[in-house]
Amino acid sequence: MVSWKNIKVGEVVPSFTFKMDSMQYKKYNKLVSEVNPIHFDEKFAKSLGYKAIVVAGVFTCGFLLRPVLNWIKEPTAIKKFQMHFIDPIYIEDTLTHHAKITKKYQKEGQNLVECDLWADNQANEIVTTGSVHFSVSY
Amino acid sequence: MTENIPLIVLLEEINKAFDEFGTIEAKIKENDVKKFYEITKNSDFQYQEKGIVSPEYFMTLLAPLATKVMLKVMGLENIPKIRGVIHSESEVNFFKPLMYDTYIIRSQVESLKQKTGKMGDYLVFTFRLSVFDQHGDEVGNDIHQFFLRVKKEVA
Repeated sequence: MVSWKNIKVGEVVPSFTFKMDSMQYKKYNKLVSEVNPIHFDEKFAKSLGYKAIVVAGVFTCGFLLRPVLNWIKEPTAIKKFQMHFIDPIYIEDTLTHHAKITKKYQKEGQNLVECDLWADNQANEIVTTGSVHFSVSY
Repeated sequence: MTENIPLIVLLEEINKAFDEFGTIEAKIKENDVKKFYEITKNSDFQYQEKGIVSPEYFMTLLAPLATKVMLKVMGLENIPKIRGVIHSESEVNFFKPLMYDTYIIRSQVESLKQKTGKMGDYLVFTFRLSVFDQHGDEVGNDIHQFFLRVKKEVA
């Protein structure tokens, strides 16, 4: 169980790996009624200089939170989440999502923790960075 | 790019388009969330037992509206021809847990800037989607920044 007392600045949270499977991504595009051809038309994506279909940020961003969510096991603890899409994420890329505690602080009676987040691909290139603030109640 | 159309005029036009959206109702359906969990391999179903939706779903809930917003902006009379749309960054703020419920979403323009990079001219467009519950309390918001790559005009 994660507790305020035991959380240490500099601690690395267990990572989470996910492959951007094309069949699953097609299902996601259907779920959100995707219309941007960069996310489903390979020819169009290549015409803009990309290597393949680019996976949408709204799909990939949730995975960035997953290490923290798996670790704290409390979805309502997430207060603020920021992400920067550095490089394109392509279909069939395998991404590993990382989190590292950078700050512990108290604000308005809440115990809060800040984490750096990042995801790298199979070539160890960082494709997304971000941060999350979450509360710890015990 | 927009030499003949000052950014302030374009911004006014975008603000008007956002006003036309007004507020939009979005219902979180259990079936959609289950599909999302299946696609994203989220097996932590403790959320569902409590009737809470994972924060990972927040941006997916808002994705169709974000798309409508972008299409509306790209279809405006004075907007330059856009060659491609790139999602560059996002920020999500959570104030209350997301539940299986019907929410009210409001869209708002944050900023519009013009830039030139190594891949040509582009507009940097930032907007906010705010989610309110049936009591009018803000549940969370989602601020997106997009790069709109401008097509080169052929003389």
